Amino acid sequence: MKGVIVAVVIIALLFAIGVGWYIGGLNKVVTLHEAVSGEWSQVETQLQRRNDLIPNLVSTVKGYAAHEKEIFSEVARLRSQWAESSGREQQIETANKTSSAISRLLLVAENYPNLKASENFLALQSQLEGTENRIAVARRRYNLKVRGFNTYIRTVFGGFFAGKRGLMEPEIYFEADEASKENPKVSF
Amino acid sequence: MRKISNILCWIGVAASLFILTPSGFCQVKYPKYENYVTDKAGVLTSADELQLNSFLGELEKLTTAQIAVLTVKTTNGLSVEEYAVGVFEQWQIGRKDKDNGVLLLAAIKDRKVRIEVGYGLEGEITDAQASGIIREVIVPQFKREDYAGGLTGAIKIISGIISKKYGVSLSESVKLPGGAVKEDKKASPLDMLFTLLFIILIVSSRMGLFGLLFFGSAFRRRGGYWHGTGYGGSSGGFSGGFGGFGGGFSGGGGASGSW
Repeated sequence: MKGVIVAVVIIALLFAIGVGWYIGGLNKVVTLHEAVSGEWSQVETQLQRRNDLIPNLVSTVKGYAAHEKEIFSEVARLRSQWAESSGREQQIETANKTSSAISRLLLVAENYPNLKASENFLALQSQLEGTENRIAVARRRYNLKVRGFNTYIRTVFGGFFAGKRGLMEPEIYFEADEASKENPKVSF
Repeated sequence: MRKISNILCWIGVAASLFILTPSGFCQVKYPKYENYVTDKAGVLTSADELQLNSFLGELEKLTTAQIAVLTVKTTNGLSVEEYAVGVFEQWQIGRKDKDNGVLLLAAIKDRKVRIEVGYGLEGEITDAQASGIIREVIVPQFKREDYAGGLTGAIKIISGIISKKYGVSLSESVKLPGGAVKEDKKASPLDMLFTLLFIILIVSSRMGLFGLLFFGSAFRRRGGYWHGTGYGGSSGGFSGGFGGFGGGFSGGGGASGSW
């Protein structure tokens, strides 16, 4: 009799542990996946913020360097391309191109001392730097979450749970272009 | 019975295998905070430090906002921006639900400075403002090696902005260091002795002998890897109520500069 009770208890325990583990695994996949999306929305917010600064930047620089048309039109083109791009892969590509375009625009500004000294430009530049830095931070946090998720779904049981939840696709890392890694800095 | 315990043991092992999924963890070594002001580069006199700490304690008491000051010699190859975010993440400056922290970071040898603004204060301390503070207040004084003056000037402006946001006025009772006079960097042994006695006196007067013992152990505990939660709200205690930073986050707002 005693043996039976012990056996039942053990089976019940095992069962409880098994069910707990199963539920925990499913939840973990979802949690990790949501964390990635959450961080991505931060990235998007910051990229959007940068895009909102662009018209102001362009008009300021234009006031001093009207003939540098090429770079203006490229920045404008990328800005509208951002609005149209769908999916993270495309968005990341556009964002990286925008980064390098803005860097070039700031390099152009380097040649105009009056522009560089203007209050308006200084304020814009610090906003831009701040935004670039925020993007960098958001990108790093996003990539960390992506790594967490991608690692988990590649583990033996993680893959199983991910399959159950239909989240087998690894998430994409936000790799920055080498060119855009440097903050657009203009020396004073 | 032996069998059962064997089985239970194996269950335990199996369970721990499921729970302990490997997670990559790499961490740059950031300094631990000592108080509101953590002067790792040793550019402040102990008097300046004391004054700044009590001023910032006052600010926290009135507004709940936390300003942390960190001076280091170098950021060890990291950019000052990365370093600041890393420190902010580890220290968690500001209240958890408010993210109202600011980190003032100066890397003396690198000649780099950064104001990192927590999420909750980004609206008040804009990047342009932070950049203005660096350009107009910090950099000119740092160029003259007046680090206390530069930091104090920046803190004055930032705390002014913060107290305006919270609609309080900072009492004049707490004076900030003048900054203009630069004393010897090294505190004399006598100074340190007095500071130590002062601390012991304050702590024991507020918390008793037991408190003193606890204080000692708490201080040591702070040295370990520790993620603060719920500490931000505490007030009272030594040096204007510094009980650690508490849960604030930043996302790269603020500005940097060099001199």
